[in-house]
Amino acid sequence: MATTADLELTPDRVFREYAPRVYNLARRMLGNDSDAEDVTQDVLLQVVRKLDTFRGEAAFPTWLHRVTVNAALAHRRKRARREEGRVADPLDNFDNDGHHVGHVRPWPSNPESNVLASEQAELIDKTIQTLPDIYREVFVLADIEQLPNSEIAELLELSVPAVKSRLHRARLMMRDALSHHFEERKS
Amino acid sequence: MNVTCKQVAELLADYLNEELESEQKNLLDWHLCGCVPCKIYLVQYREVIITCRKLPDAPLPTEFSSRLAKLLGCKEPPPQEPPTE
Ligand SMILES: [Zn+2]
Repeated sequence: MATTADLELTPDRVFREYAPRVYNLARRMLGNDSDAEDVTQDVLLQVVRKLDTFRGEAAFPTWLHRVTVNAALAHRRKRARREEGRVADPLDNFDNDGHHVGHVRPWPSNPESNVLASEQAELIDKTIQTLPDIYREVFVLADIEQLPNSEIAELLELSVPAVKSRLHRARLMMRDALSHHFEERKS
Repeated sequence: MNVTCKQVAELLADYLNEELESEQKNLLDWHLCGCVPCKIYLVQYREVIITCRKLPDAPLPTEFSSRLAKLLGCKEPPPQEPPTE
């Protein structure tokens, strides 16, 4: 019984239009491709089963976003703790007098070409994966997904000051890692 | 009274959010005026935030995409390049 309404939420449409969103969100939150596939699969199966209960489409993206975030968090809680590479404390890059240790050099200027823009996106995604879990989650929810700190605090069961401090630390780590990348590329 | 480069780094988020008290903000402004490394550091910190705001979604890995389509009972083949042999 196929209806012809163009805007009806069908499994095909959910797959085509929303699967990449779910997958990328999960991958960034979990820092790992195969965990992201598990979460994407679970979330989309759940969604497709509930499709007929979804009349008003306006609320769908928000609802899907929340379901994905919760599924990713639940997945991380139940999986074994990952071996995490050690990430240096960004504030160790200052000496006892509070001066920068070593040079702070500008990054190569942002090229306009789309090819390089996509290369840059890939680099950012790779760098996010190197962040320790507790920093990456906050960073992804705040700076990529643009959730307000109060909502992140609620999701992660943290205080707002703790969210702010982790977010700041995560950005400093991102800055360090990217600088490191550009320095290495130059040499 | 002066701030160090390290203190600047610690306060960048509050500085950019304009959440510092005016006295502290003035100290940072003053420091940033005269310190090139901190100026670069600030630009890069901001660039991390700006770039991530518009980070595009990558397509699903091809193999996962077809597996998922099958699982969801989608008739359409995944919108990807044809598999290479
Ligand atoms: Zn300085």
